Amino acid sequence: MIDEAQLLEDLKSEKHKDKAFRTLMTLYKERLYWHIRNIVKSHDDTDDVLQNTFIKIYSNIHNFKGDSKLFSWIYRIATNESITLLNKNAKQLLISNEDLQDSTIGNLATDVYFDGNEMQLKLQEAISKLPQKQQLVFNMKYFQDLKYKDIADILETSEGALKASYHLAVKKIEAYLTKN
Amino acid sequence: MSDKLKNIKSTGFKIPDNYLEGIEDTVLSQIKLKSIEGSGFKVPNGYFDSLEDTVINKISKNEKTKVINLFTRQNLLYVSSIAATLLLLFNLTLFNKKSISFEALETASVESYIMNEFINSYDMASLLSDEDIVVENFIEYNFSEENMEDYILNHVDMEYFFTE
Repeated sequence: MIDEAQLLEDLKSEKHKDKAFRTLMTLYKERLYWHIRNIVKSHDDTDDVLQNTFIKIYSNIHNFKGDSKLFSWIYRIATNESITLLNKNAKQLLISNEDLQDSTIGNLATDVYFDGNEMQLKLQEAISKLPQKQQLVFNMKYFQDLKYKDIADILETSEGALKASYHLAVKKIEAYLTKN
Repeated sequence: MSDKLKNIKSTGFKIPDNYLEGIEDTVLSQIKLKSIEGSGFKVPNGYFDSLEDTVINKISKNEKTKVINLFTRQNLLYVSSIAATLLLLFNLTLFNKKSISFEALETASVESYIMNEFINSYDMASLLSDEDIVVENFIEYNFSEENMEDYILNHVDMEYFFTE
């Protein structure tokens, strides 16, 4: 079990930073990958965001004050980088975020790195119809099984609001799946 | 059983309206959602194995480019435009001592200039000084008769000379 306090100390030190950073990457890479992938959907975009996230962590670790958990701070960076990418893509294509989402989901069926069945595809469609915040909450709870407390730290929202948001999202998705 | 208990027949619990009507759909859709295993997203083989190295390489590359900032595109544009201006200046002023002389002009250019500018004979006459006009200019040239005939036939309106 990695001692987070020690890891943080090493990350902030000149001497041990690089080695500690490698350890951090190994520790977080898969979890962060799937967290990002659920948001941006394509592997290539995920790869970009994941690398940018780690680079940002490396550059800013000396600024990390420890007023939140390292885990929450890292996930927060990853979430923000993901949303930034979605916004940038929509802007470049001169379309709205919603239209970009529709288009992305439409392309999923032919995506080499999506082997979901019809239900899984429908589920992605249903998720894309939700407001952005609800999508984040749903993905984090349903696919990543994060605790409400952790989601609250990452999104800087109260646990109560998150629970309500999640249950609403589930209802909407279930209704969509039944209807379609 | 006590008398008190005998009289209490119902629980007092109430059920929301239409709750039971929609229960089948609610349960079925929950089952549907729960049955979906995973998102369907796949990751390329070996992706995670090389990730740390890829990121660390990028970071060290970024740190190297921070040092060579002097040669940014903008700087190069500034420097090359200054150099180009200086070169131009040198070529035009310092090395160009010659001025255009009349002799350098091609005869053909002069001819076409005269023809295009419609310089009439009075203008030409005013340009020529008396010394320029020498009798020899007119006598020396012996036009062949053939040439003279050609000229007269092509340029002169013969009708004018034939009287009725």
